[in-house]
Parts: sequence; structure tokens; C-alpha cells
Amino acid sequence: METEEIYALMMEALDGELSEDGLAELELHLRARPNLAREWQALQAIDSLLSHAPVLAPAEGFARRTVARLPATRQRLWLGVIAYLLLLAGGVVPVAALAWAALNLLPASVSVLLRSLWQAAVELVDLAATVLEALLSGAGELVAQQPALGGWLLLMVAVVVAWVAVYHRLVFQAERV
Amino acid sequence: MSSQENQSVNNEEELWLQQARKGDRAAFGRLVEAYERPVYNLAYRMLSNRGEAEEAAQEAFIRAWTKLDSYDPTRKFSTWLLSITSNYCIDLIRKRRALLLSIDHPLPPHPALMSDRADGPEAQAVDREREAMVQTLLETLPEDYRQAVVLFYWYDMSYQEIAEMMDTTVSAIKSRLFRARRQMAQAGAEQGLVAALQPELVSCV
Repeated sequence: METEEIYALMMEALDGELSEDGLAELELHLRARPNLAREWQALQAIDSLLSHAPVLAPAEGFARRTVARLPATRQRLWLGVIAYLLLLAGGVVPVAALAWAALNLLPASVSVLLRSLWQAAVELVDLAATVLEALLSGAGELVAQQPALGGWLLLMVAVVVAWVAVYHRLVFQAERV
Repeated sequence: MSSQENQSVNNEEELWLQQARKGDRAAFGRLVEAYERPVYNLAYRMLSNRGEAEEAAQEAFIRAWTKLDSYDPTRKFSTWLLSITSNYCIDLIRKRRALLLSIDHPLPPHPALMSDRADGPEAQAVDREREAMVQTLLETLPEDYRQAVVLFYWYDMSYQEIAEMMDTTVSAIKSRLFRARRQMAQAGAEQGLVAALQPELVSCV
């Protein structure tokens, strides 16, 4: 029998799920594997130790001290909902008011208004594209004129990545077997 | 406890919960009294430090108080409360690591809290020794293994309940528990703790 299969039997035995036949089979295998037999004994010892460990109580007056620390008001779900609705209204109401004013108070017809809105949106996208193009072009020229800059940037990225890796290892270093 | 007594306790708890939801601090205080021991014990088993455990247990109750509206009454209140506690303790352990405070050297358990049994000095000394052993072994585990072990051994939770609380599968919990036991057995053997337990060992085979 493979070691993993013996471990599976041990697991069932510890959980009290192993039949008499299964226990006899486990015993048989353990007789032939002294290392595993020692580990089995240690596992039983740990199981017994943990099973008999008591539930500990806090120091006297814990409940009183805890109640004294409770915040005066509880965070209520409906308060959150109201806050959310107010925020939503804060955005929706002015837009609706503007739309209503545009449709009812301005002399232009609806079609003219929609065309103007579309034109404004297109111009906004054009403006964003122009700014982005200028930025990329500027960055390209800078790198072309100062080739060392690219190297420095790469070096800085490498340093940041290395520090992130070190931090991650320190914080979440795996202790699993 | 008989089923009638159980029913009565559940009714009381339900009443306290309803009152606490309306902002009744005294009713919530009754819930704190009812659950202070399991919540404190969980925090202590996870953190191995009396002061931190009390602080964490109080914080867990405060979080429960502020989030009472989000509690689903179809779930067991104890499970919800223990889940808040264990998640908070895991956050603390991770922050502790982030601050590079080593947990390689476990903090000694507070002697006054080792057991509330009124035994003689010798029995108390044995209890203290065993208690220190338990915490030393728990400290060798990663926090998710420790959480599974504590919920299994001290709270009599089924694999299913632990899996739900830890948001994973029953087979993952079974495997996590067995690995945790093996890891503790290995650590215990290396530190000579297991040998000290051998005479008391009740053989299952």
C-alpha cells in the first residue's frame, strides 16, 4: 500500500470513521512501516492533547467592559440605503433639471439640441485623442534624445518589482508543508 | 441539556437579538455574557496572547453590534459571531507579520487563564504545561490551518460547518486538518513534546 493511502486510513481513523476491518488493515501496514507507526503515535498524541484542551474564559468583567465600548449608534442598513439614494439623487436630479431646462426654456428644437450634444461629445473625444498623441509623441522624442532615460526607467521598474516581491514574501510567506 | 432547555435558550437568544437590533445595549450585553467564553477562547487560541485575545474578542463583539442588521437569522448566531472573530484574528496575525514581529517564538500563555478548574497545585501545573504545549503547537501552523483546528477541536463543528465558515469545500477542510495534525505532530516530535504525551496516549489501533 502507498504511503498516501496509509495516511488516508489514518485520517479516517482519527475522525472515527474507520471500520474495525480498516483499523486492522492500518495496524498491519504500520507493523511493516516503523516510521509511519511512530508518526501515527504522534498524531494520536496530538489528537488527544487537543481533544482535552479546555475552553478558556476571559478575565472577570469582560462583558461589562465590552458593553462600555459599544458605539452609541449602530450602523443601520437603511441609513446606508438612504445615503446611497441621496448620492444618486445628487447626480441624477441636476442632470434631469438641465435636460428639462434645455428642452423647455431654450429656443432650439429637440433635433438641434441633440445634434449639438453629439457634436460636443465628438469634440471632447478629439480633444482627448490630441492630448494623448502629444503626450506619447513627447515621451517618444524624450527617449530618443536621452537614450539613458529608458534604461533608468527600466531599472526603476525592476527595483519596484523586486521590492514588491520581497514585501509579498515577508507578509505572506507560505508555511504550508 | 434537554431539548426543552435548548428551546428556551434559543428563544431567549432570539429575544435578545431582536432587542439588540432595536439598539438595546443591555440585551446585547446578555449576548456578550452568553458568548464571551467561546469568542475569547477562539481569539486566544488564534493569537496566543491574553491581552490581544481580550482586545480581539471585544472588537469582534463591537463589529457584531454594528453589523447586526446584516445578520441572517436563518444562520446560527454563534457561527456568525465566531466567523467575525476568526476573520478579525486572521487580519491581526497578517498585520503582525507585516510589522515583522516574529511569531516564531510564541508568547507565553497567561498562567491565570490556563484553566478555571479548581484542582490542586500539581494538577494546575500539569494543566499549565499542557496548555503551553497546545499553544506552542498551534503557533507552528499557518493561520488558515490554525483556524480549522480550533473550530474543529474546541467548537465541535462539523466539516460542513467549518467549510461554510471558511468559504471552502469539505474535502479541503479534511485535508487541511490532517496536514495541520501532521505538522503539529512533527513539530511536537522535534521539540520533544510528543514524547511527553506518549504515556497518556490512548491507542486507537
